[in-house]
Amino acid sequence: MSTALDSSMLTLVTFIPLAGGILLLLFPRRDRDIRVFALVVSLLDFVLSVHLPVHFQRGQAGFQFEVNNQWISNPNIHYHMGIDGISMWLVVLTTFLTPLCVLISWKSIHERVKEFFILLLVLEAALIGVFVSLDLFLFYFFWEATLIPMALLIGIYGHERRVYAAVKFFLYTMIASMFMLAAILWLYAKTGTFDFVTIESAIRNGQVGGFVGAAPWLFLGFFIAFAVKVPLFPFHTWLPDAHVEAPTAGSVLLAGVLLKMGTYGMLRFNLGLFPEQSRSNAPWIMILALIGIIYGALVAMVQPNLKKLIAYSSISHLGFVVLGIFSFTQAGLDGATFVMLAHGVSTGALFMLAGILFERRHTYEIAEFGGLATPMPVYATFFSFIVLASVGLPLLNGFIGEFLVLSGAFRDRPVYGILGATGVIWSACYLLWMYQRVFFGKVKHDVNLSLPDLSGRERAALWPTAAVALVMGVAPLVWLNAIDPAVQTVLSPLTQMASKVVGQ
Amino acid sequence: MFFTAISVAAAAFGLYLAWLLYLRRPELPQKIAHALDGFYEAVLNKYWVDELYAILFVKPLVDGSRRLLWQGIDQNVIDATLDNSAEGAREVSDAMRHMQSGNLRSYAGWIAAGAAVVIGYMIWMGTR
Repeated sequence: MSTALDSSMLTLVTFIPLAGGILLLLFPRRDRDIRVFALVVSLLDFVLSVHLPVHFQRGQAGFQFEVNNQWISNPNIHYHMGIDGISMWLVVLTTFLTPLCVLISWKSIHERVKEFFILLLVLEAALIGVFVSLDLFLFYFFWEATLIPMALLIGIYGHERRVYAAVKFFLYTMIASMFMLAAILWLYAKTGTFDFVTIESAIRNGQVGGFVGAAPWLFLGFFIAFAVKVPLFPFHTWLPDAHVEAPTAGSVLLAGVLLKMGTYGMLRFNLGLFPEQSRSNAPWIMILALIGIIYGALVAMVQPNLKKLIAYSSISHLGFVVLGIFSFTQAGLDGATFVMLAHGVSTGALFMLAGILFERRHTYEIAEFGGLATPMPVYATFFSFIVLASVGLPLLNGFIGEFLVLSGAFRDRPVYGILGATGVIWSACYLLWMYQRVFFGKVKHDVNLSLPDLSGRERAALWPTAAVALVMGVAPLVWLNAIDPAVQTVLSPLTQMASKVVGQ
Repeated sequence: MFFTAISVAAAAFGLYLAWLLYLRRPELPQKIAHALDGFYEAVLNKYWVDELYAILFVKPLVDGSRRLLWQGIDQNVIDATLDNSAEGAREVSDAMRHMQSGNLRSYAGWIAAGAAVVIGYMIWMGTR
């Protein structure tokens, strides 16, 4: 297990994209070479990251592939990385989506090409860093580091209102993160370390002075940062703007990975460090999640803009994740993690599909389309497959996660399960209705008659997502048997607490 | 055996009806439709169940989602609060920046005014 390769694996996976970005700086401005290089680097990173699930010891709790070195002695900051079954798959999701982002941006980006791919690779490195960090300082560093490339991607390569959207995204998430920073610094002041594992055990053993009084505020400090990122109702309004204005690759990574930073944070830090507060705050968080599921779906239904529709659908789907996390059941947390991955694949694909349409017509207005199944049959087939995956059709990836989340929510309180289950119906409403308006009926606008179907490059970007959506639906255990032990570890303090309460 | 006979008879009757209405007397369906008038219309439109459903459920849901949830809550409450707070911060700063005029005499004035406020506050606190 602890070979030299294993302990340096996370470092490699995290920093290869960054190294690639730095090398790109030295490239001459020959766009084709730059694209090919970005593709090679991101593919290399994906291949390396596959090492993680292949050599991961399933059924074993705790962190693996750990590396822990002193980085700065005063303040006491460590370069501490490690993954469990939850974060491992999020890393692989990131490395899986990035090459597809490169492919989908091949032609749509033709100005400042070099900067675009540098930003994309830097963003990938920061996103992976968030998931592998086990030192709170390192975590916070990567957490904020994702903001810069993402805001620049939106602000430079976006559509008409790109600057407004970029500033809104940056300020909104940055302000919320400040509360988390304050909470992290409080923990450092009391424990003298940023190390997640050390702080966790110190809290569990009651060795942190003044923790009882401060814990509710610390919980909220972390929670607000994560809630904005997820985003949870009513902190969600930055998301539709950011998505509509972002270039396709930005949207794919934003919905596919960046939102999961929030739900991952809740799982790791809110539940890990503050189990009691998680339990006492769960009722109102569950209600916000349910509002997010239903409200997000209803608002998605009436969007005239394709990309905004997908953005609001993300709010609805991420509501499922939060619902599962705060149900504190094995099924709920397994499902929440699975929805994170499934949503990353299918919504990433939906944004790629929307981007493909935008490249041809330069609009996202649903009313501008109709009858597209005639000129673009292959595109329509891909779109319907991904829509069905997103709706949660059995045998596709959306179903497994939602089913597990709902069964967990039912066990927690039946009314949560019932209200959550309506979300599945709503998602069928808005996605199938949108599909009907875009693809069926007569071609209303003559320009649409001559739209070219998918090119080979576009198919290359879409096939992996469709294949993974199917495999995840047919063989979910490949993912779940790594997720399950990690979830048990997260849940163990919570169930111990429950048995203590019952025992009294 | 009995049920087989019934179903065969029903199928035969259907064949006969088809022969009667489409081949033998093609004008007959029109007459029947006329004779049944309102009932025929209702059946033709599936008893207007789709229309009723649209009025009762679909339209209120879509209109409510659009006007109340999206344009109402999302745009006019949540987003407006954010945009207004950003606008407010900008306006306050815009008003404040006039203090920084680069004019030394006005700076001296501001210092004097500030000192007066502090002294006033201390006196007020002292007399309480």
